[in-house]
Amino acid sequence: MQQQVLLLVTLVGETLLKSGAETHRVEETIIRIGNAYNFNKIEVFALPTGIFISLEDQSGESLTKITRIKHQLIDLKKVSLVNDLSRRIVAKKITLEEALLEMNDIKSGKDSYAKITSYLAAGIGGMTFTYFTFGSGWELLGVFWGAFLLEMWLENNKINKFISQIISGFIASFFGVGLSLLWPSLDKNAIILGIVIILVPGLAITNAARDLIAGDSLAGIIRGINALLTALGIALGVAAVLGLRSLV
Amino acid sequence: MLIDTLTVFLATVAFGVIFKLPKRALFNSGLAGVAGWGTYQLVFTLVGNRISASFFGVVVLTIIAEISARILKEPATLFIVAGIIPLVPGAQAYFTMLYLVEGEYLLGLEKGIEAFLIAGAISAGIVFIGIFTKLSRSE
Repeated sequence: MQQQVLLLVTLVGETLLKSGAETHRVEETIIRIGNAYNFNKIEVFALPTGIFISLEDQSGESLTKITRIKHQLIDLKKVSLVNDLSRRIVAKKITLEEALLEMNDIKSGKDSYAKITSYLAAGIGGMTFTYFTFGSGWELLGVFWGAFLLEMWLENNKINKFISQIISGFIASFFGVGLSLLWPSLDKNAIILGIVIILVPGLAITNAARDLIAGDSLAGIIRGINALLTALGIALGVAAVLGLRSLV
Repeated sequence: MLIDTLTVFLATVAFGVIFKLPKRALFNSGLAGVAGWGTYQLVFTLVGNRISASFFGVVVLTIIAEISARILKEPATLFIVAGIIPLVPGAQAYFTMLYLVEGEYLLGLEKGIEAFLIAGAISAGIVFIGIFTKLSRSE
């Protein structure tokens, strides 16, 4: 039974961290679940790259588990589902076995949006951002297709994150420069910006800020650096193409 | 004005889908985005400073997000992440890079500092409201 609780909280912590929850939520959720199963002392140390959990029962015996988190895959729906499950566990509305089963379902659950919906969302997101930054124009059409295709590529490649951001910057600026060469009246900057904006690290910025106030300074700094690296990666990709363009 | 508001709503919801928000959080996320952007526009016309406008925009956005979180019993982050997108200094960051590539270092520095300060103001806005919610919790 105690091993099972340890397994449950590990799954909970891993899923929350991977899907994009802030550190404070991960630690608090685990502590609450541990308390619900009558553990005396629960220590959790979560970082964006790994999680340490130690549960101590009434007899003073303690169980410890370390889990390394390697890839983050933003899926805030999972955060919401785990949040809901932990409320039910704490309210004792669900048994341990059921909770474990449900947790496994959540962890391996597939996307709630069809792929085409995410592509469309990327297209619309890029297009609307360009609209309220640069105003309307034929560029919007280019942005829509650029962002649509970029998201398609992003969802289906398995390259290292930093490299894939550089390549994304590449793709976006090829698209922008290409279109503005074909139709000189188009503003290449509006097109490139609209496409790369779908990569903006909104979650990293939000979580970095929230981690820092909650006192999880180390986690906050890591996320802040992640956000900065993302911006840098995109800029590198775009700059490489624009630099070449200004040579020719 | 109406079209702008609708565009911002649409943008926030679209980014919500990219971040894979649960469907029931999408509408409130859009509302938070519109509220944040509206406040930004209002403060910007009054004061003429993008940095303070971003700060107040995010403050209003985070308040709406915290209220939505209480009503829908969902984490507040869900309503913030997509809502800040209309406010992020994407254009400033882009032009920083562009000017640096073109060798216009002074212009690049100017845009870069602006981008950095706006990003700082956004984080500060989230932190500012976050502190109040932490105070009110008995932990």
